[in-house]
Amino acid sequence: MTDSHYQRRTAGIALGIGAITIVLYGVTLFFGVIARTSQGGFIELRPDVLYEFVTLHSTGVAGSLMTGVTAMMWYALSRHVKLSMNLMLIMFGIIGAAVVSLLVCTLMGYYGSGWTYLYPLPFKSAGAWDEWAGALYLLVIGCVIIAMFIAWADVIVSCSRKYGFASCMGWNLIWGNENPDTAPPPVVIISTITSMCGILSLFAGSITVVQQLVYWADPSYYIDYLFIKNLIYYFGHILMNMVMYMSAAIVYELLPRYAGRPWKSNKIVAISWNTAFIAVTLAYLHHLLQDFVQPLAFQVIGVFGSYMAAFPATVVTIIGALILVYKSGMKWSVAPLYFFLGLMGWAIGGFAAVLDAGFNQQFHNTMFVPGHFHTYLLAGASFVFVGALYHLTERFGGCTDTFEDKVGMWTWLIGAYGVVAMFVYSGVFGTPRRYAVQMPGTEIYSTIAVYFAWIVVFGVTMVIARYLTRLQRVKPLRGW
Amino acid sequence: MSHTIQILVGIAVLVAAVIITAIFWWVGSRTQPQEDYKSVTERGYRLRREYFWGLLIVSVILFGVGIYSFPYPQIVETRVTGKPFVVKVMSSQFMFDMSETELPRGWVRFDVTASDVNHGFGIYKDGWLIAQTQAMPDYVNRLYVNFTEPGKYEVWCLEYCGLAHHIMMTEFEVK
Repeated sequence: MTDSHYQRRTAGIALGIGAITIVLYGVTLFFGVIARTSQGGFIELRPDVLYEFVTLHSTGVAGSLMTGVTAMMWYALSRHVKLSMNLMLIMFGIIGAAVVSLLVCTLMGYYGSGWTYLYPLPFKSAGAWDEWAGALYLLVIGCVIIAMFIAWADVIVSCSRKYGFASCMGWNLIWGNENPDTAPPPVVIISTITSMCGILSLFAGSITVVQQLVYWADPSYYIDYLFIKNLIYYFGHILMNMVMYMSAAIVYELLPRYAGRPWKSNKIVAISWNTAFIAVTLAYLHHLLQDFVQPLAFQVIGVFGSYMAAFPATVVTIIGALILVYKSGMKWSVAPLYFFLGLMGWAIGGFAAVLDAGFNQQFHNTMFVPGHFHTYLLAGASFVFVGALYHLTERFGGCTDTFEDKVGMWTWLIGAYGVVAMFVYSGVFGTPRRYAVQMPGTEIYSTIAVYFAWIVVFGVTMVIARYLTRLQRVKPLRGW
Repeated sequence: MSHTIQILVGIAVLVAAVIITAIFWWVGSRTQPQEDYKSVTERGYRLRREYFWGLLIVSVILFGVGIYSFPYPQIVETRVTGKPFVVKVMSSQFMFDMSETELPRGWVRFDVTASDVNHGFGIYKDGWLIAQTQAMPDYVNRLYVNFTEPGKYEVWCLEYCGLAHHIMMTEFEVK
């Protein structure tokens, strides 16, 4: 398969954005490990410093992973549709502004709400940080919203221009108006559905940012606490789920290249991803299951949506991937292994997430929650992201895997599962999340987690070092 | 009851993680020798159908159990016998103000709200989280708990509310 000039340029941009975002990912992951090391009792951070680090970690990792995965999705789409490279760079520039603002509001403004915050915490910190820092953090969120809007709008417009919107959403396949052989490939359908779902959440997110900034300017402005809580969770929940869904789009496109088998669009794939759209939208309500004043129907729908989300993910995508590789004759290299392990992390983390929704009274805001989301981010979407980086250096630089590549991958994997196991089991035993100092009797889980967290640091550092080394051999970046 | 759920969920996650890992390991180590994709797909789709129905049955059962154990007043009030003992709880950075700290055994209703930001109201007994609700300004969440065991109970904040979130706790006693 030869690559067009456009594909090579897209790959070049994806590789460059990948390099910056993987470094940013590593640095902000490190802040989380330092915070965990303090929770484990090895060092003693002041609570204000710890929560600043947690904010840098959670926002930084979420933002860098989202940007990196988006760049990889662009590359995965580049064989089928032409996206705007200028918009890619503008989107990346806006993310850069968000990073600078995040550093200023946390390190200079002492802001420490974490990525998941609720109104009016940014402006009512009991004197811990200034209100301007809270407002600046909201601008960080605003930058992420604008950047992702540009990215997702470009995907929808570009895909629709070539195939038509209804085809890109899989609706023509569902209604039998399209032959599967001529339908858009799965990466186009999944990317369009993901972008649509994501853009709807961005509207909700932008309302929360604007409302809170108005409140900052005029404290007499009233915001309904339950209403904004719904909007914040709708926005945040969808945004993070879309990182995993974009990762799935990448796997649909790149894993078949290693398996040597096609992974085509069909009616089942189209139904499954439309179901995923509905399920993930409904499932945001599970974040408000402990708000008993929500209408009861919303609570039932929230749990229903959470169970529903498991069907398209496992029945179609994960089993589809297993069928794809089974007896395919493929030989494993590091890149497809990352894709495969990423899907495994999605399956394991997703299972725990569904149980969290089903039995939320026992697990809400305990360590069980970071347990399951770290599983499908640290050992799920992150693996797909790194797998795509390895694929690109393999394809455009002719890089082959070394012993260090394998050591980086396996240490990251082992460390990640150790970290999430400690989160999950401390949550089972009731440990609350986001405690600067752990509740008496629950410290042991954090202490054990620290050892695994440093194994992750070792693995991630090795992966970053290896990627940057491999990057130097890549042709699209030369004479460009 | 709540301990049972926590332990069962803990076991379920471990079992599921082992099974999923085993499946990925099994499939991943069987990429050779190459077989016709069509025959693999046919077998795979058969298994997928069986998995779909299995997942549906398990999901319906878990969904039903989950709904039955919902803590919402509309559901719990149908099970409450007699008039519940009412405790009003005001949550503020970084303290809980409870109208009563000595409670009788039997059904107690906590009317939980907040004065500044969102907080969580998590009741612990011997290290186990037995019930919780959110504390939100302008809204009152009614949490029903049937206390059958006398003794000291702790309340911890379960929604991040600022720098002293981790020390926001109080105690009450059930006589």
